Amino acid sequence: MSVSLEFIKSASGSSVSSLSVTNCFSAEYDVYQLQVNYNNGSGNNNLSIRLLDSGGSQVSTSTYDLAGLDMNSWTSFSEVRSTGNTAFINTAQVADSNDNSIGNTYFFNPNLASYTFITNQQANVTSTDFRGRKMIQVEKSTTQATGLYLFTNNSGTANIKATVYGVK
Amino acid sequence: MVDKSNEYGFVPSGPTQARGSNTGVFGVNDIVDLLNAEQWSGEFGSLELIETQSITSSTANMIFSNIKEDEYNVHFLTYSNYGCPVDNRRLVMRFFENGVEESGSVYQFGGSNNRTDGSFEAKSTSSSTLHLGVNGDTDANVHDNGYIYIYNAGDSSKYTFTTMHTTGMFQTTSKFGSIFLSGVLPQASVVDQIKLMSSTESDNIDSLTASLYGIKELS
Repeated sequence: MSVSLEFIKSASGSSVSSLSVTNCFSAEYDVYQLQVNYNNGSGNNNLSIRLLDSGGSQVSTSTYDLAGLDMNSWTSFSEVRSTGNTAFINTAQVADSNDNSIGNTYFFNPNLASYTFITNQQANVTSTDFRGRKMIQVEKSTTQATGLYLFTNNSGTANIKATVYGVK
Repeated sequence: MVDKSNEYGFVPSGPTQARGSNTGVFGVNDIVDLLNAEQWSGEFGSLELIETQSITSSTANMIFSNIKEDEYNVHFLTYSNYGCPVDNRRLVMRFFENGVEESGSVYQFGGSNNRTDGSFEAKSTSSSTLHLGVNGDTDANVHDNGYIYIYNAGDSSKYTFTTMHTTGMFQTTSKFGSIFLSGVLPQASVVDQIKLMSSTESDNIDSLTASLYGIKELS
């Protein structure tokens, strides 16, 4: 096999508060890359992500943990860590209509009946400020995930595009 | 490559292949031939090499002048073996917008410089470049390596973002280091060239190999 990154599917929505990417995880790959392009938000919107189980239902239990670093261009950095979340949180961020955000997330073994780990790095412009982020997160319910549910954490709207690749 | 399309009488027309959209019936030998030629569409991936460049003797910089920004929304750049002729220099990156190098103090970034002697914030709201590697020196063993994702280069309505992670030896062989950093050219414009150079522009690059890929989004 000469290739290492294979397109699986993409989904997008304009002025939406959520977006589903169904049936993107399977037994075919162990590692996946999710690229998120997130812009034109309303309010201070962080983007959260939940796993979808084999029936398409959201995994919304308090089984998500996070450790990360906010790397601000204009001020000191801040550690971000929390346990018992109900989603992978802070995976991208926009604040107003002129903002853009890019998130690049790797998912490890989401389709296995084991913990799902992710690593994420992102670049965000909110107003005139730039913030980089680097983080790890885990979902500990041992759900065999088949898809993703992306949503704004304050129910505000934004343009969201999500593209999933399998890593061979 | 498929030259036997009419060999089998029951095949109504020659098979054709397109990215993710084959038509017709491929014979076993057709597939074997295409596989051997690395042209079988089932083997197409989304990571497509645009160009590899190498510097093996003192050179001012390295420019990728045809990044195919109209074909790819995401680029992936790897580099290795960055060697500088002067101590305390790092590899940095700049973009060209519609053929014009953006050398103003307009880039912003935030990242962490992680070394065996401590961690340090790397940040700027007004840089003329985007930092890539750690500050190296002229020792051949301390050459720097890393990867960078570049987003929205060809989208005139969006800023061009980067995320990267690199590793090398900081100034002396005794300090191992790594930088992960996110950055932006906060100007809605078409970026059509990428320049790699030393952090002091007048200093050349002694050695560097870099490959630029496009990440293809199939439909």
